[in-house]
Amino acid sequence: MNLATLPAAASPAKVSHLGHWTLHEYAVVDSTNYVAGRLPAWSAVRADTQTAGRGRFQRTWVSDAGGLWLSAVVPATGDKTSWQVMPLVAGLAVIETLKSFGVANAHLRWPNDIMVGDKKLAGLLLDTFTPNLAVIGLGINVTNQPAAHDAALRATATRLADILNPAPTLGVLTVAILSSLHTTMNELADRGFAALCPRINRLWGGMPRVKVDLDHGQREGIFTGVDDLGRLLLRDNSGHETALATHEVKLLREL
Amino acid sequence: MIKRLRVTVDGHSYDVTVELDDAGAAPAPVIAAPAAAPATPAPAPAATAAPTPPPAPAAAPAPAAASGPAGPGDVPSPLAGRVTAVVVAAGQDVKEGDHLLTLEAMKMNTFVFAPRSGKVTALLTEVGAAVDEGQVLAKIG
Repeated sequence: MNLATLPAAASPAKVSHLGHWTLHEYAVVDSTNYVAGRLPAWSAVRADTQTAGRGRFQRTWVSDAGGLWLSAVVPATGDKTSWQVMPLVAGLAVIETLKSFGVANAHLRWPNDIMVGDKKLAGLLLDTFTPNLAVIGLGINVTNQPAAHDAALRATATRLADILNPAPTLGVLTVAILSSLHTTMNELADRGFAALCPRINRLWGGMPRVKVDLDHGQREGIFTGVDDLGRLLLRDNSGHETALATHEVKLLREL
Repeated sequence: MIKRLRVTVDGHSYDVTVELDDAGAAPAPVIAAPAAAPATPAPAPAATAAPTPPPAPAAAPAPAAASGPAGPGDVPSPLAGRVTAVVVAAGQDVKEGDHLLTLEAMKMNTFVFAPRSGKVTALLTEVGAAVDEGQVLAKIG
């Protein structure tokens, strides 16, 4: 895959201006992140369906009609340490929006899965295709039917339609999430991650016992949140807390 | 500060110890920016000095490929992360701006592009490898 030779997406069905954002809406794209990767900061791409929606580790993300498949392009300038925490900050913006719609019991699972109980409501995947820009890709299950495409998802996925009656429309959700992302990214730029960290640490939904896969082996302990640098904090049985740099952690599983 | 690097050349792995010397006049790391780089010349002063070649005379028998800081055809890692995709092969011709590989940290992928056109003369990492910031990932001759 070469971004420069990506098949150009068809002309968007609709381009609209929402506050600071320019929103491009399509019926179908391969991946909203790929389309957004060609656009400048404060552009967003929404598609009714994705043919190649992606999860982590080259997994696919079922992106059928009725869900919110949205990518937002934001500046990633300045010191690397200030934007490498962006996955955490993007998760904060999205979960705060969902809570404002009434999803009171949503919590974060490191680094930015949005969970209700043990089921996933929304996921994020970020790409930096070019220097100085980050693409925040977001999938929220709304009225779509993920379990119809993969029965295993019945046990692991949930939807806004299962939680809120009525579920907000995709248009209303898009406006609210983009607005929250703009505000939160500007807070990160102006005040730094340390100012946002306490808000994130209130959203983990308790302190789960976890197993983390590292470069060399595994560690078990209590996940107690993230520190001011965005590092994962793991407390071992003796009460000792270790900060793990984000790139050290391959995978975190709640036990 | 001592850093340990693992360099693979033609399938042979070499463990190399590098001392980061803040006082040394090391050349600034070359960040692989495709074509239109932003107008931010020489970002960091001495804070992030590039790794200097191992000064110790008795250091490991440094293989040729591991010598020195980033050269003109070197593709250094822009950040610490894990390699999730390598989309070129050694010996392949690439154009400036071609996608070479992808790094991942905390569900954020960073694409690494060819800083210039040429042939991939060495591919110094592989899928699954953890890499440090500044580590040379590939060479383009």
